[in-house]
Amino acid sequence: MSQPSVGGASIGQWSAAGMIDGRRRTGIVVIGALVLIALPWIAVASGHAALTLLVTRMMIYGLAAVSLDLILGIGGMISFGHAAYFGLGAYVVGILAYHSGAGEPMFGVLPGSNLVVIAWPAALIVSALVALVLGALCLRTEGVSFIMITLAFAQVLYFFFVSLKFYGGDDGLILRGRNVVSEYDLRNPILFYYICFGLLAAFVATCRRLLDSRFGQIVQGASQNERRMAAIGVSTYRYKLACFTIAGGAAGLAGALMANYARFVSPDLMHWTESGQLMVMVILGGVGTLFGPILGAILIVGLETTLTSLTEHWKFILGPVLVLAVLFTRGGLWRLLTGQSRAFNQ
Amino acid sequence: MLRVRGLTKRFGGLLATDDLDLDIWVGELHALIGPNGAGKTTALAQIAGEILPTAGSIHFDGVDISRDSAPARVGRGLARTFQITQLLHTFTTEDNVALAVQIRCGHSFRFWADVHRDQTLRKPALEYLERVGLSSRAQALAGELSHGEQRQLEVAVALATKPRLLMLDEPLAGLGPAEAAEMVGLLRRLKGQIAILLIEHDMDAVFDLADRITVLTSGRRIAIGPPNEIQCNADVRAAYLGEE
Repeated sequence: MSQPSVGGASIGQWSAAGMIDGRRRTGIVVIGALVLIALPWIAVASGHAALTLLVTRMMIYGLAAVSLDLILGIGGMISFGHAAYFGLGAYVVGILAYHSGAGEPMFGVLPGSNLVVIAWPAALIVSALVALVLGALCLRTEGVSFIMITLAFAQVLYFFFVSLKFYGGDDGLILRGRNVVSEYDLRNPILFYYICFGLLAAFVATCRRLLDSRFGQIVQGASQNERRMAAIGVSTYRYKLACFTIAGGAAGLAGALMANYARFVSPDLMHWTESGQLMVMVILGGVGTLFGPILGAILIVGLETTLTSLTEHWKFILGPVLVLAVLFTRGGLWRLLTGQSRAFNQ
Repeated sequence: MLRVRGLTKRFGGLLATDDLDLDIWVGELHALIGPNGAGKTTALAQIAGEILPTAGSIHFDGVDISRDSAPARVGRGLARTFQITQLLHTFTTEDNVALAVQIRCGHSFRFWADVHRDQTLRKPALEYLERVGLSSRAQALAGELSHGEQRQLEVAVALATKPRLLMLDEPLAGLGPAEAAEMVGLLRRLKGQIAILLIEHDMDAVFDLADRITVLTSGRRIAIGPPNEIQCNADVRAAYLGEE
C-alpha cells in the first residue's frame, strides 16, 4: 500500500479495515441466521428434537437481551430492572388466558383472550406504557441513582405480583395452553420456534434501522456526551424516554413469548436476579452491538441447561466461566467474533 | 444584542463571577481576557445556560433568557465551543456536524429514514466543514482527528446551529503555529458575519482580532474598551500584562 501522507494513510487503513470488518460481520450474521433457520430440521434429523425447544428459549431471552442492549448499550441508560417488563408481558398473556379460560371478565368488564393477535399486542402495549411511566420518573436521575431506581421499581412490581393472590401470588399462574392464531394452536414446537425467530430477527433489523435514523443519532449522541447535545440545542430527555419505552415494549413481547413457551408465569420472571441475568447476557455478548446479546443469551441459557443436568450447584461452575469469558473476550463475544475487540480495547 | 447585568456566581465561599456587566453588540468581536482563574469560562457557562447564576440577568435580543435551559438558548441563536473539546468521538466528523444541522431542522422523532443518505443534512454539514477547512476529513472519526482538527470541528458544529452570537472558549489553546494561524484566519472570516465572544490567552490574536476587550480578574471586570485603550490601561498592565 502506498502511503501518500501520514494523515491520508490513516484514513485509508481505517476504511479498508472497516470494510473487512463489515464483510466479516455480515458473513457471521448470515451464517447465524441460516443455522437458526435450519436448526429445527437438523434437530429432528439428528434425533435431538428437544434442541428446538432449547433454542426457542435462547431466542426468547435473546429478544429480551437485545431490547436491554437498546437502552443499556446504545442509549447508555443502565437499567437494572429490565426483567420487570419481561415479566409484565408474560403476566398480560397469563392473565388474559386465565380470564379466557374461566369465562369471567376482568374487573367484570374486560374479557380475557387466548388469541395471539390480542394477547401479544396487549403485552407489548402494557409493558411499553409502564416503561413510559416508570422511565419518565427514572430518567430524571442518572448514573448510579438511575441503576438503583430502575431496580427499585422492578422490585415493587415483583412484590406486587407476589401479593396478587388472585393470580396465584408467588406460586404463579399456569396457562392451559399456548395462545392461538385463529384455529392453529402454537403447541407445534416448530411453528412456535419460527415465530420466535421471526420476531427476534424483525426486532434486531428494526433496531439496526433505528440506529441510523434521526432518532437513533440523538440517542447515541446522548449516551456519549450530554454536554455536547445541550450545546447543539437538544434536550435529550424525551428521546431517551422514547427509547426506554420501545425497549420496555420489546421486553414485554419477549415475556409474552416466555409465557407461551413455559405455559407458566410467576413473579420470578421479574425478580432482580432475572434483570441481572439479562445484563450479563448483554455484557458477555457485547454492549451496544445488538447481535452480541443474542450470543450472550445462547451462552447463558446453554450453560444453565447443560450445567443443571450435571449438578445442582451449577452456579458454582457458571461463575468462573463468566469471569473467564469476560476477561478473555473484552468487549464481548460479538466483538471477539467480528475482530473488533482490539479496536474496542484501544 | 447580548446584555448581561450584575451577573454573580458564588461557589461556596468563592466568588467566581462578581457583579459582571457585559454588552456585546451586533457583529462585534468581543474578547474576554484575564489571568487563569479569573472566571472567564464560568461567565461563559452562565451565558450559555449550563450554570445558573446566583444573581444577575442575561438578555439576548431584548428577551430575558436568564431562566432558559441551555438547549433553549441554542435555539435562540447562542452557540459555544468548549475549551476541552466535547465531540462525539465514535461519530464521523461529518456526522457530528450533521447532528447539529438535524436538531436545527425540528424534532427528531423520525425512526426510519437513514440520516447518512439525507441530503438535507449532508449538504449543509459538508458546507460547514468546508468553511472551517475540514472537508477532507469528513469521513474520519471525530476521535481520530488531531487536536487542531478537533478544535476546527468544534467551531463547525457550533456554526451548524446557525448562531447569531458565537462564544469561543480558548479556540487557540494547544494549537501549533500553523494550526493557530489557520484558526485566526477562520475567525477573521467569521468576524462581522456574526457576533463573537472570544476567550483567549493568545494576546497577539486577541489584539489583532477584537473590536473591544473586557478584562476580568477574580470575577470582576476591571476594564473594557478597544484594544489600544486596553493596552494602555494601567490597571490591566498591573493585573495582567504588566509582568510580560
